[in-house]
Amino acid sequence: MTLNISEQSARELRRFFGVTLLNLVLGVLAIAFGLQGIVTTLEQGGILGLAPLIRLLAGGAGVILGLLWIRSGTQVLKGIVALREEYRAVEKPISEVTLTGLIVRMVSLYRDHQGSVSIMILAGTLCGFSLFVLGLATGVEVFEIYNGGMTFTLNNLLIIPAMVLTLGVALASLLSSWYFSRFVRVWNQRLHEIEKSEHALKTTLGLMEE
Amino acid sequence: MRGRRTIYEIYWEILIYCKSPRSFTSIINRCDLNSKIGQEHLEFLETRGYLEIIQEETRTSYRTTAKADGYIDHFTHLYQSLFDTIPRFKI
Repeated sequence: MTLNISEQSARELRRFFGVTLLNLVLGVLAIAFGLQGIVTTLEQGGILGLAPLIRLLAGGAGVILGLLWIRSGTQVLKGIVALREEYRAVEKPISEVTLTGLIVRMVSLYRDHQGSVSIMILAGTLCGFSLFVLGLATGVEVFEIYNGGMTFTLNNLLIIPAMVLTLGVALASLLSSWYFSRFVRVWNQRLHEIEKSEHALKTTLGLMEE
Repeated sequence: MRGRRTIYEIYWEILIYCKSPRSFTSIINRCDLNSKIGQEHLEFLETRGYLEIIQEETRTSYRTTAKADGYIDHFTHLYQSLFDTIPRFKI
């Protein structure tokens, strides 16, 4: 049983590390694409018209949210790296006591970074949407809305790869936030289990008799 | 830094660490506690009979008693059962 739990927790730690690293990479890409959107728009002659304005706003949002994303991601990553090193350093096979100690460390790491993880999910999702808008706006030269509908003219073909790339990063951002929110759901459930079990621990300590 | 822990997690850490006799200073260092809080926790565990004080000439140390086994086992079982649910996906 110990080996199984030990393998599970090691695997989970590895995946959490992977998703966090992916988040950092996407944060950097979000900033790059956001900046590119801003610079290109300004180079093309400013913010006259709806499409350039959308590009500027979406690009700006991408940069700001990307910075926020990276800041939170770095904090979380620092904790995970420390825990992974601790995990690697322990003697194998892992004893029950060592394993429980590592689980306690994982729980306290999550408690410490719960806020940062929530910011990462939110920033990742918003970044994804901003880049999605930026991606669409990159390829649109003219965009008009009428009473009965709308029309848009696509820019030259050279813009299409940039647009596809931006949309790809946007999709990856949304997907990574979704992955992270699955981790969060499980860990919130675990914290809830701990809170529930505190009553039982209190009883064991004899505190309920007082 | 040990991060945010509940009082029960701190009790468990102290009890595990004190399986061999330990001085007050080494306990608060190892469990990352300040001396006031550390003293309170040790007094509590001692009054419950989970820790015993060993006096050797000028040295005072703390050792976990057999009575603490129930708490340690219960805690271990609870925390290991947290991993019954794991996020099931691959990246």
